Amino acid sequence: MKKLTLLILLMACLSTWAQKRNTPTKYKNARMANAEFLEKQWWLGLKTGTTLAGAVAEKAYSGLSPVNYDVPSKVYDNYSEAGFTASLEAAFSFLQFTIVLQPGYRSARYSYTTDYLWTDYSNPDNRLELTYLQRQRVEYADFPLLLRYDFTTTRLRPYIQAGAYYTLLIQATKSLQSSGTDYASGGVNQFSNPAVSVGATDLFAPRHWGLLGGLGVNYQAGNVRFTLDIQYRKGMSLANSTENRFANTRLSSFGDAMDDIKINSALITLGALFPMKFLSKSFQSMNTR
Amino acid sequence: MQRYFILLLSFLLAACLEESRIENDERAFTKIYDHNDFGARFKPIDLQELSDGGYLILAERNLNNGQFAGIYLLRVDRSGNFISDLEPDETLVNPIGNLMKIGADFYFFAMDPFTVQAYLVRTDAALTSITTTPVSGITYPAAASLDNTTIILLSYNSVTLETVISLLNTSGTVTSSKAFSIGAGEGVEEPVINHFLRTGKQFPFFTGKTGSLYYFNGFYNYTFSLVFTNLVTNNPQGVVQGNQDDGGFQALLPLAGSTFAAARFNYGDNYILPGVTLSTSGISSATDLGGFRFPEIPADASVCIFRGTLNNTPVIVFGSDTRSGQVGLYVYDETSGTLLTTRYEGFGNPFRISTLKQSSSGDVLLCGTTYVAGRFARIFLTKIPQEELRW
Repeated sequence: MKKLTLLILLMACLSTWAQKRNTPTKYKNARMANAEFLEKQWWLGLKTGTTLAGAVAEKAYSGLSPVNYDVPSKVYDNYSEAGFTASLEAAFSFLQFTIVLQPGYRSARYSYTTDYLWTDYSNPDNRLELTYLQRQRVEYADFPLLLRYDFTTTRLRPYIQAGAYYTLLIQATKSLQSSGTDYASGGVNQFSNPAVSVGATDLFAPRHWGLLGGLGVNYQAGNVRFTLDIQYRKGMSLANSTENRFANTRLSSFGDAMDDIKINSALITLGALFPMKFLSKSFQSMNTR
Repeated sequence: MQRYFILLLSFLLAACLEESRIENDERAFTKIYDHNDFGARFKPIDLQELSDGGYLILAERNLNNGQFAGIYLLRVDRSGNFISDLEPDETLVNPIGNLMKIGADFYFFAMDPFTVQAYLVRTDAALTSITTTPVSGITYPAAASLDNTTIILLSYNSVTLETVISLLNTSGTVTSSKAFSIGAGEGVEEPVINHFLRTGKQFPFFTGKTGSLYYFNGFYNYTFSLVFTNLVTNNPQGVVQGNQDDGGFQALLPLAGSTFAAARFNYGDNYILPGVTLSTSGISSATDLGGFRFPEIPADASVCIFRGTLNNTPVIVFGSDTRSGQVGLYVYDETSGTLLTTRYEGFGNPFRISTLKQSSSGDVLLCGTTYVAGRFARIFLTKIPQEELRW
């Protein structure tokens, strides 16, 4: 992540330096002359940032099928564990509208807990409370396509955006940790067992899609466009594999089965975009009317 | 043209998306049937597939009072989800397999805890009714199987110190029976009684029929033996002897003529024999049969066998516990006797096998005991699609 950030900064500095070197004073004079040419522009850049993910259960499943109590429901802990995202951005601007293709990498992390209680019928003080904590880390290759609208044509351009994305699963891992309190073994013993981590790629859908919306702001520094982007991605199809729900024998032996879930994500990214066409003399890349 | 291409691409992308489908829920599952009583223990004995695609499981449960195990019946749906259960009172104990389907009803044996008399128990698929019929003259039922609608019952007579094999009808009437002495003298029946009290080694008693001969796996002449009888003559037709109570057969499945699939044990070692010819007449020794030795199977582990077809190949599938707390499945080519593939179930909590069958859809059904939270003995049922047992 650090390397990627450094690379973006380096490219931004070089581009800014080149623009200043060639056109420090002609910027304003030339901008109106080629306005028509500059109404259209291609941009290419990199973005990186952080993600927060949440899972929404569409239908609950459990490997434990109780015979004398209700199935314990999972309690999801959403948007609390940060993931990482990095993407390439290819954009085409026309006036204040921009069509953006933003292929990238995204990791989503979320967790859920399930509580159980066993009580000695002959002595209710004897009981065992147990909590299973399941952490998921899922990595995706995203292919978002979105339409962006700039509110202004100044150097500082706030914008809104909307679109859709299609995503391919790269890999997934799960870890399971049990902890609890034993009141039945001669005292009150709180315990926590080491987490068991397993590959869980088979448990997730190989692909899903969703809608996205967001806002952000671009700042034009020379030819370089720096951007702060906030997106919310809403999963529209299931992110889990319905076929392989019980395929991982390590997890199913604990009574775990994934719900039918859709994954939503919030992304905050910083990036730099570089123009793909220039005026021949001025190296001007934008039309700031 | 471009429009058609985009439409086609959209259709293909959408077609690959995941959808919630009941077929997937029924196709494969692992379900653990938990009870929130700290002191409850369950151990399945056998299961039967129901006409609605669900499953009926016969199990034993621990009783707070008494030295025997209680009866527990569990009904689950096609996806393995709990539907209902039945805990008959403690007037009958020690249920034994097989759980036999005759017509629309299901039969198994249990016994009176005081008189140790055998009872034939009948229930229906919905577990709405249960009827019990005493079996005259039969005590300590040990194993049962079905020959069409005739029930073959193996039992023990503690008065005469005899292993008894009987034929019964569904009314509980004994139509034929033969008894074979386990041997005379003090202490010879101790391991047998300890088996019934669940305080000692659990012996793999079983019975069945091959050709015109009936067979049982039980004690005969001081030795745990596989005995063949025609139920006419007083002496066995054939005996494959074990080693007192330290060797013998764990499981047996007739294939053709005198060829069997078998598993045997000998002083803690376990051997799998996908195809072995047994002498159904005279006396022979199980120790001489060889077989594939499986160090991963612990001493006294249960072994289950079924014969079926997986992925269009005739196979013999063995299942047993492993030293790592899993259940191992070993798939052999029936024709060549070579191992095709293996699979292991369970990881975190120990898994123990009770029964292994092939479903009507050709998938593998595995039922046994797992220890939830590492301590509570509960029933589990796993359905493994046959396509997941590729080789």
